[in-house]
Amino acid sequence: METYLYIKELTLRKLRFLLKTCMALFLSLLLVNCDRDEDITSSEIIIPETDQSELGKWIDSTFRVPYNIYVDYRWNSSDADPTRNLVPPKEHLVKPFLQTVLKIWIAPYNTVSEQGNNFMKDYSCRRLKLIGSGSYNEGSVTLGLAENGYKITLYTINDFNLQTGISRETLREYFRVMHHEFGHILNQRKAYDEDFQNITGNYSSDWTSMSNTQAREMGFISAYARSADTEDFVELISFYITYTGSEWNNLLGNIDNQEGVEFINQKIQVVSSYMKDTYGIDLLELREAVTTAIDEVVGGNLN
Amino acid sequence: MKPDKIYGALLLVLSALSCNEYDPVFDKSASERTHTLFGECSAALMQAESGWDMHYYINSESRGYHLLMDFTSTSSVTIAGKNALTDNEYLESASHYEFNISNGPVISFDTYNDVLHPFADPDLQDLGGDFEFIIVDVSDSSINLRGKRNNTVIRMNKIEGAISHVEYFDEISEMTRILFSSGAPDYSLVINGSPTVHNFTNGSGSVFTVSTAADTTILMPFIVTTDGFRLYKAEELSGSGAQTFRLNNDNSALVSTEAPHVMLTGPADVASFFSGTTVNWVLDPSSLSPDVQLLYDEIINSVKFRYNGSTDIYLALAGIPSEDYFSLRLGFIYNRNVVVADVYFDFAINGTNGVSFDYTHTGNSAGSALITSISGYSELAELISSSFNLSTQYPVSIYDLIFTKVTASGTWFSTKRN
Repeated sequence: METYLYIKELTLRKLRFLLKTCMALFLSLLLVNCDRDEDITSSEIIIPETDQSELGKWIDSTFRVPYNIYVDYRWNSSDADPTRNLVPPKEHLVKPFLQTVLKIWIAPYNTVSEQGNNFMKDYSCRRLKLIGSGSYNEGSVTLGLAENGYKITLYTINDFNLQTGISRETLREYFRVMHHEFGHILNQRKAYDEDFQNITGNYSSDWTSMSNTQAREMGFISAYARSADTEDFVELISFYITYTGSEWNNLLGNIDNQEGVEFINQKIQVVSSYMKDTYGIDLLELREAVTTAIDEVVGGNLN
Repeated sequence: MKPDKIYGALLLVLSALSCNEYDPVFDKSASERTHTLFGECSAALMQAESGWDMHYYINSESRGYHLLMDFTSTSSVTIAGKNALTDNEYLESASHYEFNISNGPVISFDTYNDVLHPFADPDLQDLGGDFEFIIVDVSDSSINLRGKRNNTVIRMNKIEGAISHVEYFDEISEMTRILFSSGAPDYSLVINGSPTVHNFTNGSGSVFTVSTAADTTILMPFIVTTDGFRLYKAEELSGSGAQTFRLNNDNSALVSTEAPHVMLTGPADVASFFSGTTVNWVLDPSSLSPDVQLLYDEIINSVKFRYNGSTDIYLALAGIPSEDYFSLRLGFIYNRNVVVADVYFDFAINGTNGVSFDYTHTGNSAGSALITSISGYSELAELISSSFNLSTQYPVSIYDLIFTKVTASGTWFSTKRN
């Protein structure tokens, strides 16, 4: 019992001492701070200047103001993959490319949607990053990336040269990537029916070992579609709307395995329902709008 | 004294000490210092009348390239280049740059420049070069940088005087010819007047192979400058610490600017060097004695007359590989065919700077044909069949040779190694 009291007394002593020590330290700090008489200066944070070039102003008025889309065409290493060799786009190719983005990506959705211009205001990515070169992997090249429904990165802008003439097929490849990545953003906002992945199943990370033709026989619209159901879904959107009706029919007509054709048709039904029910977008109308836009750009009309 | 009193006293002492000011390491914050550095860098870049010469290296193993930069505003730059990526043609391209903070203070060439970015473009040769550089230090005349990805040492030198970028590249090309054109000698490292084991060879690709004391070799990338060359990094060969070498006043050596007792020297004597070469010593039409000039013009005009439309006509003294004789060579291109006509001379060395030619009246098939059909060719062969004293304006590299007839000092001709 005595031992217990002794320990208790010791503890109380220690507490008193601790209290005194803290007060002394506090007073010391006060003294230190009292001695400071520095002026408060302006902010030392470096704020990047806004792009005041003609191109910058045009991008601002065409993308940021109406759609809240920020376009990064100048190099910014902080959001580029440091493991890849990449370069920024050639400046003179940026505006024609973006005009084409407006015409073949943004305008068709706005035209077809009941929401009109508000559709892309609501659903478009917030950042569009342009990279001049391709992004090379072992045996393949990444042409586009979508991140968290927020940012789309498009590569190979330096190959996009309208002045030297551009074919329908080349344009289709560029904007298939764009529609593919936008498909991810739509999926990331609202999920599609999980049963979609069971139509063919058989997804594999070893997709590069297969050609598009081989993949189609198995019921995938492309070899890349076989990499994951999420890729399969958006590959179907992007192929369907960037191919004309007759091109799409030819594509399916060249598949020997009728089961493969059936799988693709079943999947397209799911995709169409998703687009209609979730976003009010008729896929067939969207295809017509995209087809018209591509034809006009091939004909030299960027407006 | 009770412990709490001791602690109390200590606290009072600490309180008193805490009131004292400490001496800061830096008098400004990191952000302010970065701003200041950017300001200094920007001011320096903009003030250069003839721009800046960036010594650009893709990595630490390969050659350097000159990128000439005019910073036309706080965000615009025009870069000029003349290298393999521009098909060795002069090319300039305008683009944007900015300063930012990432891995330290950085100058970023953030829009595509047709001269700079091909070094990094994976769609081209995928060389993996840098286009963002960490600023290491800034002065009015030089800026030291580090490649942000490859950590390569990049130096920018202010171009002195009023000179166009085209002229600047011409000067570099001329120095490249003087030091490293076909048949250039090896260079030997000399320290305090004593030879060392270090020989600098194979410089034509701007990467020396250098012999070491351990009987091995190391590779040393470098860049040719307007007055010599600069190694990628300072080398400690035999404690030399040298990096930048400039031709001295009499062109007899390349002397280190960092350590003037360190230099590179060339061949011991001109006659031996000449006798060992198998290159063309091309007659320089702007530097011939009147009698040689007459024959030279006669030969050129005769070729043009007989072979209408012929181009690239030259006359040269050429060592014949594996043989002990020289030829007087007449070469030209006709109907896309390369014509090489040789007439042969027996050859002998006379001391360190004398040679003798003895015309054999033989030649290759083209030579045997043209010696009679091209006016002036046989007369020039007879003129050369004599003894000559040799001299050079560039003893370090023997880029040129002046042949002066021993028996008639008014007869001479200049040649350049090609």
